[in-house]
Amino acid sequence: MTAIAWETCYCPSTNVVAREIDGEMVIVPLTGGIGDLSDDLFTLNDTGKAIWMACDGTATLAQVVEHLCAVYAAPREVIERDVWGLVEELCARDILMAQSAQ
Amino acid sequence: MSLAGARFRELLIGILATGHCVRFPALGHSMHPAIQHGDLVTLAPLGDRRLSGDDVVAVVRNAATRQIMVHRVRRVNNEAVETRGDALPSPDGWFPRAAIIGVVVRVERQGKAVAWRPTPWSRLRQAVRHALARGKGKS
Repeated sequence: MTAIAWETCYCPSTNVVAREIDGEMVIVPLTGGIGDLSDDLFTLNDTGKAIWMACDGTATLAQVVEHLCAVYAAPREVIERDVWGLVEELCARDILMAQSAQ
Repeated sequence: MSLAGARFRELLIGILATGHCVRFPALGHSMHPAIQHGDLVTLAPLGDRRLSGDDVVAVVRNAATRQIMVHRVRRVNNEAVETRGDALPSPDGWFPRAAIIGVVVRVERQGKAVAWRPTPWSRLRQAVRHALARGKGKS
């Protein structure tokens, strides 16, 4: 797994195109500049979409959690776990990247 | 060939709008034999590209439903193109250049690139096929 940190800002990788369609966030990986619709696509549910949209490269992961805690009536530890889990997985798949790495 | 599914079409249009190419499996038989059902087709954004009669383009044929078809350019003028599926007997009609969202740059079949531009032989076959289709229509 890719090492992530609460004090790092994350943003969408340049290797993906994300489009919101019918309220769902669909992420298409780019291979050699080509979005391959014959391959598996990533679809984020509402929670995933909220995390994705908060990861805009300006907020640290800790700030993303603060933001989501202010918006959603879910226990903090649940939000922290969801944010950490999704960001870790998306970084491992090169869908999100640390801002400093750009 | 057409592209099914509103979400799929939105995604395809969205990717091309970002300036990237997009690859997808072909559906249908209207471009047979150049593009066959199941072939992997790569579209590039149209940009400033000048179109010719050999190009195959993706056209939004209905702005309301965003229905897309991938057919060959038959005639071009400054503002519009006329398209037709290679296997279809009649043209689709004229479409404004703004309705063209991409142009085919690669076709793959079973993992290998195939030629989708017409050869003299394929032009002859197509002309004969269309002539026969017209003859059947008259009889």
